[in-house]
Amino acid sequence: MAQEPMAKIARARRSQDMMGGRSPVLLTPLVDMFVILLIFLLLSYSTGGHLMYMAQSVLMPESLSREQLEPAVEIAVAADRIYVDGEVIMDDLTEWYTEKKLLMPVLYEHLKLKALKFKKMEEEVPLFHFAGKVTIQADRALPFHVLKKVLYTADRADFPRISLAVYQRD
Amino acid sequence: MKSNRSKRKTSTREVLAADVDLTPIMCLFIILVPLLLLSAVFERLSALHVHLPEASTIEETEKPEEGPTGIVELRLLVKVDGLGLEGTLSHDPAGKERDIYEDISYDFPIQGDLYDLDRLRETLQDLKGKYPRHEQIVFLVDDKVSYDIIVQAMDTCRLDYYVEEGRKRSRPLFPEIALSEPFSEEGNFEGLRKGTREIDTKLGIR
Repeated sequence: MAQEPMAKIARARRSQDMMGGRSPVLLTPLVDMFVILLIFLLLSYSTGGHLMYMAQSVLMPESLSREQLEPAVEIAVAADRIYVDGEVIMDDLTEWYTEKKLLMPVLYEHLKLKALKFKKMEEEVPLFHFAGKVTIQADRALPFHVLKKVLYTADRADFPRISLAVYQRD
Repeated sequence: MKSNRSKRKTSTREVLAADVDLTPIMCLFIILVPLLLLSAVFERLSALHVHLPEASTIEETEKPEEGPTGIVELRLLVKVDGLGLEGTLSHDPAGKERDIYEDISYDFPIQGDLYDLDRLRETLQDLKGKYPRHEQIVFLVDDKVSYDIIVQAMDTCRLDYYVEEGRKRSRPLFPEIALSEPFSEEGNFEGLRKGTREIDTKLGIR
């Protein structure tokens, strides 16, 4: 009884000798898997595009549009806050759900200062051109009267070329 | 001689049966797969370009320009209870045949919870067929309508998708979209301009 494990080891050793001293790990399925993964990843590889600040809690709508996003100032509008280039500038939008006025002073100030900075850069840096482009990421449940205030404020603050960021849908 | 030939035969068979060394290709995969995974894009983003009506346009709509009902333009009303299409269309909106126009007015009430985008698309296809030179459409959106509905309506108005020879193709319908609100009596635009002027002074711009 006590000799049985020893016999097992001996048998294993003998079979190892037959395999040329190597354990029989089969790499073929692993290579198959990697080939499939590689093809899938290469298909979903995108060469274009640029990095964007994705604001938390903003679920953008889906669209069939295939137009490319361009580098621009980014405004993200969540249900309760507004970000400009990834930085929270307004953290309570409750009053703007009832407010009649179209202009949001805090947002206007931020954007206007950015526009001024870009205009100054345009004078100093030879190849830099300020086109007044802005990309707006807004939550899909946002009511239009809040969105229109953001659009209006951006337009007033010298950002008239407005693009809405959306997820692509097939 | 005979034995020599048989020896060569065995050695060829041995070479054929030998294992392919997969280690280099595994090394390559182990580097390539994480690299591609890191740069993979699972959610693609795209842009929708919109225009805003200019202040001068808002004033101009007060006085009719051409035709009895106002300026030649197509308007889509996006309301909480459905969609509406109205406006004046002309065969030659910018040229000499501007006086040949047609007033249109359609209503697409909401069907259950869904907006009737299919009927809107059919109507827009008809209109584009009749007036191919029109490119613009003005969205007049009610305050309570959600952003998602606006984007869906924009998709419907921008491009018409169809299948030809098994391939999905698209042609433009009314791709130039301006976002606006319905005309109201209480236009407080002067007050708003004053608002920006105050902030500009505070920032030391003017």
